[in-house]
Amino acid sequence: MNDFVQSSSPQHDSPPPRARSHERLRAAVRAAVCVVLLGSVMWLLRNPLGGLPPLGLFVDVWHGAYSNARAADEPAKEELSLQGLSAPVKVYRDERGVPHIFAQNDRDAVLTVGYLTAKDRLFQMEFQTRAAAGRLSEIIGEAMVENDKYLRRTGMMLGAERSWAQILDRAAKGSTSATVGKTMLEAYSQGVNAYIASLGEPEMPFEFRLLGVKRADIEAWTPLKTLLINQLMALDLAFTIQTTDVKIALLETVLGADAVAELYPDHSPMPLPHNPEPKGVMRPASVVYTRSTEALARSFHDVQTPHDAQNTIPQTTSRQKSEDVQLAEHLRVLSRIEAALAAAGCEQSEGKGSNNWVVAGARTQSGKPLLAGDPHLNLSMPSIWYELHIVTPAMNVYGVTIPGAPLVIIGFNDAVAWSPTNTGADVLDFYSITFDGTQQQRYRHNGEWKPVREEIRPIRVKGKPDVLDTMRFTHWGPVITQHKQTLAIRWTAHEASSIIEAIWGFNHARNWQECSEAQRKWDVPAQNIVYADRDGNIALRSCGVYPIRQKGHGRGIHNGSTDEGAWTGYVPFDSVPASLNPERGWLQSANQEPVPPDYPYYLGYNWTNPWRAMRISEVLATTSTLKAADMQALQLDVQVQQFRQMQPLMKACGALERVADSTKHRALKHLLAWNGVASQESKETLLFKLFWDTFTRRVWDELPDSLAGEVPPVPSQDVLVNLVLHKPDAVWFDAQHTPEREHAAMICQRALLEALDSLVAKYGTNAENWKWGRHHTIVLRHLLRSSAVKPLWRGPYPFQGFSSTVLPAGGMQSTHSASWRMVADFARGKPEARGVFPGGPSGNPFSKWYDSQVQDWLAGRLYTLYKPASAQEFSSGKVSQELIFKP
Amino acid sequence: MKWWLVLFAGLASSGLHALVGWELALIVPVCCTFFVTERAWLQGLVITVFAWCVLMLANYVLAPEPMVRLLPTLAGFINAPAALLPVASMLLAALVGTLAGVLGASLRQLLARQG
Repeated sequence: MNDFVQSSSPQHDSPPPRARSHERLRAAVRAAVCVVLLGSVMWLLRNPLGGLPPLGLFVDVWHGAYSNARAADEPAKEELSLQGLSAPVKVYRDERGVPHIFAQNDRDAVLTVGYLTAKDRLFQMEFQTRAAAGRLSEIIGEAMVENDKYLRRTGMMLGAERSWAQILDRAAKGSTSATVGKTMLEAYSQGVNAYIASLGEPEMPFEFRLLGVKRADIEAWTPLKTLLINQLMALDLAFTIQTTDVKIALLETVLGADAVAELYPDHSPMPLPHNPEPKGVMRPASVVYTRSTEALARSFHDVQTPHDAQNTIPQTTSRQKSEDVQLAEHLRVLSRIEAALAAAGCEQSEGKGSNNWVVAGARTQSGKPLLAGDPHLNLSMPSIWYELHIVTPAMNVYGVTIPGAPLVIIGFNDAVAWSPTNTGADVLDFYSITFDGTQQQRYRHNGEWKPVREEIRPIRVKGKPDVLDTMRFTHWGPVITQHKQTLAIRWTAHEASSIIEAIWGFNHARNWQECSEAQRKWDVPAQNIVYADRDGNIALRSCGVYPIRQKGHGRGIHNGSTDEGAWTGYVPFDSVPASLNPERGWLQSANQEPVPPDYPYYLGYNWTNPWRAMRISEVLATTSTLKAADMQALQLDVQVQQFRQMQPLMKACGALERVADSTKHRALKHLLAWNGVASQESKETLLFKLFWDTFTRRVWDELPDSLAGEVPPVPSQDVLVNLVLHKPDAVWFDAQHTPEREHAAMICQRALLEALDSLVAKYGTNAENWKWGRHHTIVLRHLLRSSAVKPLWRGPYPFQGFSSTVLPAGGMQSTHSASWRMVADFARGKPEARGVFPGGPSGNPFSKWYDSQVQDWLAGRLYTLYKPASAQEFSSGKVSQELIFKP
Repeated sequence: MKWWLVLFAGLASSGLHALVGWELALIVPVCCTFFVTERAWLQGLVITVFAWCVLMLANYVLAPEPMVRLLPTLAGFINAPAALLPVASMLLAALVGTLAGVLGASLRQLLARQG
């Protein structure tokens, strides 16, 4: 082949010196221009521009995102050194990428779990702990500073620090369970840190690189971070319901107290407690205060208040604002907190909740228990859950954990299975605070001025100077100030928690007694945990701590200047709602009020409507030969209870006779004869949705459009249905804009006619276009939620279901639904289970295991959860990767 | 420059790119073009584009499946077709290679002995 490019040849004729000098100058200019241009390109590729990620991430074919793609393809066999192990650990990833960890002791297993979860989900772990600590500005930037301030003021860090301090203290004093907890937390951290230490800049999780976060910004994992993960979970499950009671209090000024009591009752008008029958219910014990008021107060406030004359408040106080104005301002503060929570991924959303149930052998085909659970949380990419299997001489446990937590949170071992739902109890109170002057150094309490404790911590901001943040604490808890209004927060998550010890207990439990002991340590977040074991027991207990208030309830904003809203203790463990082996042979929870109205303690209000619980109860009560497939089918059940309740009125209201148009007539006729199943193919669901929205809007036309700038809370659906069924002439059915007096049937008729008009106007006359799945979708958003990272989302996918069906899918584009489905079957003695979650093991968006389970989840398929007792038993055909960790 | 020298330089550049980054890998085209007088820009371009092609190919060999997922994902961020990204990468390689080539030749002229 010829020369590709001509070689240089010696120059025979040298140019004159002047020309040469000129040539050299031109060369110098050319070189300088090249250097400047190359420098500019280098700078452009390395630095983010205008909020965009660094361009090098997209175009550098080796160290850009391509390096994340290469990291996604793991070798079939790998041997790694893992510092801190006492013996080799073998890990098999099965054909779904689920790690099965075979270790010679628990500590080694947990250390390996730390390494693996970090390898698969480091960004998620870091993002969530930074959210909980109010440190999102560090990775996202200046825009998050205000949110971080609010997140810090929820007190998540306070509780985590207390928990860790208590574990250390109790371990030092010889507590076995605290020592175990400490060991687990430290081993897990060590495993995570071993992975972090192995990371180079190009191997950093893709999202960090998108955000322009540098390797040096990734700090070591600590036990505190694991505890923060639990705090964030508690926040997600408990904090987001708090604006409702302020809104309801404000509504009293519009509607009156009686009306509010009718529309927003403390107890559901259609109660469905976990277990209505006396037998099997563990009866509440007499009230025993677990801690004194003083002890509780001290735990929040280290400063002792001297009782001297100087601290006594003068009788003349500043002018009080009217209560309504104050409530409106409180509402604004709370709404601002909710906005900050949403930025951290904790949103109030239709569909958030969970189901679980357990059936005794007397009602199953096999004669052995069945257990099912499906927590309904934000469906994110990567998933909130991480599936794993841990085998040590002390346990063989399988299930899901939250990345950042060391052990299985929902799962089963060789003897027992368990699954939680959110109790939704009132475990958080707000107290209005009156400061002495603008310096906020003292606050009023029981006729005295008490000192405020101040804590100044910096907020590190990406690419900007640190912002100093002064947090203030009263004996109630951290305070939030906005527009001169100050609220203090008291929350069970501010207390030291022993949740890690509880989870360890569940993982190791061999029988009801051991599991019950573990439940004793379960404090925050409060959860209804169903249980079954190979001895044939079934149980359901609302595990957690529930405050007892001096004034008997936790509704509204308490006056922080007195002790009227003070916590005087917790509901004793033996008195929390619990049932063991009920005569009817099954137990269920679906976030409904767990107890009948005569339960002696206040647990909360604002419970989820009973539709899911109603449907689950119906199926479990009517079948006596249940099998695992029935459990699976029930998890996918989409029968709309609202329709079933409304159907008689819809038929009787006379709407059909008033429809002249043949297309509309046919549509309504089909709706009235509908079986209520909101499948993707159903054409009736869309019309029912239009009707239900219209009906609700028409009935609640008395509610103001805006309540201090916020949307007022719509009464619960069971309140509405209860009125339809039992008070069809209630004043609420009277339309505000007409002179006549309407009743339920008239509003129902108008709503149906309006819905038909909307159906044709919006979706046309072709019935094929009315199929629910064409308009109703589900989307799995990325953790960052931002639409700027939509390529990392999955969906939207056509989806079945309706608001509060057993398989929930509220709204027209759902973001919350079953985040994990599990069915455990004790037919062969030891539990065997099947499960699925939407997502996959890996958080790397270029990995085949990023979204590998999404299609099966959408189709409602479950995987067999393969749980061999040893590495030797592991079927070689199932191995997709073998990892050997050596000390 | 001989074609095999260009090939060799391209391989050396891709090795350096993988080890220490594309910025330092430009030393290769700069050095190579230091010794040529004609069309140095083209030699720089060819060396760098060849090096980036080698690395792109290596990505597909090392991680075929993730690579299939990578391109549409990345392209999704800028609402562009997936094929645009490799093209953009090669255009960038061509640009920086050209600049490196010109720089090498200019340096030679600048440092040439007065004679």
